[in-house]
Amino acid sequence: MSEPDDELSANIPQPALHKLGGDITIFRATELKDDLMQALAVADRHLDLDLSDVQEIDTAGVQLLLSAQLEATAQEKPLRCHHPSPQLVAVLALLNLTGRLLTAPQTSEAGG
Amino acid sequence: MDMDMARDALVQESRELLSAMEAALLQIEDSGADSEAINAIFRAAHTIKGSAGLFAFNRIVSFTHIVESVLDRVRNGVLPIDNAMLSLLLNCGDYIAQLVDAIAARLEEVEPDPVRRAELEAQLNQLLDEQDTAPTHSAPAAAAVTHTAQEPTVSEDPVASPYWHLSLRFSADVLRMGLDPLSFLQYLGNVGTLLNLQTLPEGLPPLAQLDPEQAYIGFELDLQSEQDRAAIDGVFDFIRDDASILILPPHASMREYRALLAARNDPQMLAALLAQGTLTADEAARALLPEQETVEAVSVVAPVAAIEPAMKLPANAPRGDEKKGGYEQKFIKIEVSKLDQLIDLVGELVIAGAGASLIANRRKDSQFEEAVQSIAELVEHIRDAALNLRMVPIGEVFQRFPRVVRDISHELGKEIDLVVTGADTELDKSMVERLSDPLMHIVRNAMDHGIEATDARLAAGKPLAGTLRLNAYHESGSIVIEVSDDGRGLNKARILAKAIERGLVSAEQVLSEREVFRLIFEAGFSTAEQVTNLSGRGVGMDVVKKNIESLRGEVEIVSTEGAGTTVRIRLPLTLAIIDGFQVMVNESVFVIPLDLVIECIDLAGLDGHHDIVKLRGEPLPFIRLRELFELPALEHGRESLVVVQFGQQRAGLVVDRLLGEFQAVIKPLGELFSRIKSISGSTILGDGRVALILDVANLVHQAVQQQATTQNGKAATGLVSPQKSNG
Repeated sequence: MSEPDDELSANIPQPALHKLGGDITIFRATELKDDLMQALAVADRHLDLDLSDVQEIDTAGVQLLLSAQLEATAQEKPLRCHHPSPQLVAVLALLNLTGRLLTAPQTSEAGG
Repeated sequence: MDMDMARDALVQESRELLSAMEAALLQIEDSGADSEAINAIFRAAHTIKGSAGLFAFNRIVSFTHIVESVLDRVRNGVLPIDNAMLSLLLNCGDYIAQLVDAIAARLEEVEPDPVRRAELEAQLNQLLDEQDTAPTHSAPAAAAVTHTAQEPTVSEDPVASPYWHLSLRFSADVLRMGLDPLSFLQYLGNVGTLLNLQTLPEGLPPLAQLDPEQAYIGFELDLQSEQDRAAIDGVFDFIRDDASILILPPHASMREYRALLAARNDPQMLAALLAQGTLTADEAARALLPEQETVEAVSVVAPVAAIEPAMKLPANAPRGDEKKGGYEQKFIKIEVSKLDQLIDLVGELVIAGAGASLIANRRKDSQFEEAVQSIAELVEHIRDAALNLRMVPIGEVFQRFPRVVRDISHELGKEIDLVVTGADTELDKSMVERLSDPLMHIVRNAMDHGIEATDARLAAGKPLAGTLRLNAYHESGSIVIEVSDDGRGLNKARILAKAIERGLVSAEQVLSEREVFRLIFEAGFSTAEQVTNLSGRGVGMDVVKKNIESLRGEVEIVSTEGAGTTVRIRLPLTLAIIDGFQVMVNESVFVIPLDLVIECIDLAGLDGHHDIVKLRGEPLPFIRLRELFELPALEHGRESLVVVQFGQQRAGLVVDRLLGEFQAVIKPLGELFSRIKSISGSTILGDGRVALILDVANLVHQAVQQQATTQNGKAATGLVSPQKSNG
């Protein structure tokens, strides 16, 4: 998938991006979980995350994103990740999760 | 300060681990390789290395690392565990112990024995090199046939993958402990190239149910690397205890992949996953099938045994919601000084309680007495429980001996089997420490002088291998520890001749067998014709006796010439508080350990002269405490006889009044009284007075000896040990 953002802006003029930035690590894991649950509660059709400002991310952070994806799917508000920071991209590439987290939802969304 | 405590903890932990490691090695030597034991050895080495690493004790880390690498190959069945390996590992354990001692002595910067270390390292490295140069993937049929059960090195039925395969799962707590699996993966990039990495959700729940600090995910990956197993394994050093890490070499056998699948939660899913890269579809399908359908039966046994340890691992490693920590909760470590303080306080409580019950008795207030009574009962329970805290199984002492016996029997060229019984018999912790050296000496003596050389044994019609027995049991308030051998026994005539030569006894003295054997414990006595480097240096048995006596105990020897010798040590169960029996002589109160009291009899009804009474037809020697302690006689008194027993011997003690039971907190006597043999300590009574505790062992001996001398007419003035002679 190339340039998912263009596609998005075409479908929805003003996607309500929820910003998830800074260090996504064990130290903030509980706080971030609550934050994401909150974001999901107010989300409309998608959980749109702005990940442009993600600094450090560890195993707990990766789990958090995967788990949020599961929850979002269950609530029928699929997760969409936008503007992943280079740090996040590197980690997800290492873990072979790029397809799962960065492109997959958009693909399914593109159809609907 | 904290650093010192941590250092002490490290030293103690390492010593415990080393002795566990030694026990496991000896167990393997004894009953063959056993994956549990091999794992225990590996864990011990690994934990020592890890803890030492935290303190940057690099000497220990670098040495243990090599040992660990070898152990890892043993664990994976790559290196055989044979006698040479066992000896090498035992020696390495010894050297690690030396390094630990150096840390304890704050000398960690100094290599204790560089020559020894170089020697051991060379042997270890040789093992590692041999294995590295051996081709792992070419499996010539001829080699496969000759392989013994101990060498499942070459993979049979290898998979096509030229890469290492790593399977990683983590314990739920790993993140909370500050370890980040991701960083280990990143670091793994230094060792090789990561391929086919799959992140497994392993039960990761949707966000609403997520415990954000718990680790869920696991990884499967291939690694393209020129490094050896130790290098790859080394990446996971700090996380290994909290993870299940399986590493399969390039071209690993199907068996190893089967084991991997069996070890993980969902074999079907995992096989499907592996089929996406690591394995071919056919291999993945076969890995799911049971073994016998694809592999010829010939060599099934050995490799399965080799893989077993790998399969055991995940069983120990908790995953998902399983909470680890069941083990940690079972024991807590307490500083000994805290325990001692508790026992001191309980001692004071006992004394205070005795004071209270005395007042209650005087008040004649039945309610008060009843209350005091129930408090006294509770105090008694507390006392027992507190003392029980200090009780440890004597196995702690015994566990050193398998190694000692093994080494000494090798050194002497004798074959000696060690049989340990009663290792769970408990005794006071303080005694365990002080018992170790005397026991060691007795054991060495038995092996050196007791058990004959092999040919002499054959000539005597005995089994080739000598047997050394360590036994312990409780007997009337004492713990008895026996060291027996089935050797040549003691030669009475030779001992006597030697004793006369040394001027310990005079030639015309008539001695019982027991007395002759006791001569061995006299200072400067040794009958060994040649002095070996083990024993027979003329120091020893007298020191043994002194050590045991300083614990208020006693040693005796029973021996049958030609059939063996038993050295029997008898010790009181505790050194702190005893149930005592109070008696009075004139106005003085004495305490006799209650466990040693057999019965009390009114002396008036008995027929006694020459300090011997006839009790139910048996002669019983007795001692009048009044005469012993030179106390004035009472005007009119009905004297009582307290019959006491120590070991197999009985004697009577004549007293003026019997006062009854009493919990005595033993207070040591000062230096001034150290030469008085009949008293072993003092205690404080409820009313604040001091009472002396009688040394029953000594009194019984005195009485028995008196009886013997009386019977032998007026024999010479007896043995060297200064005995109180009472008229």
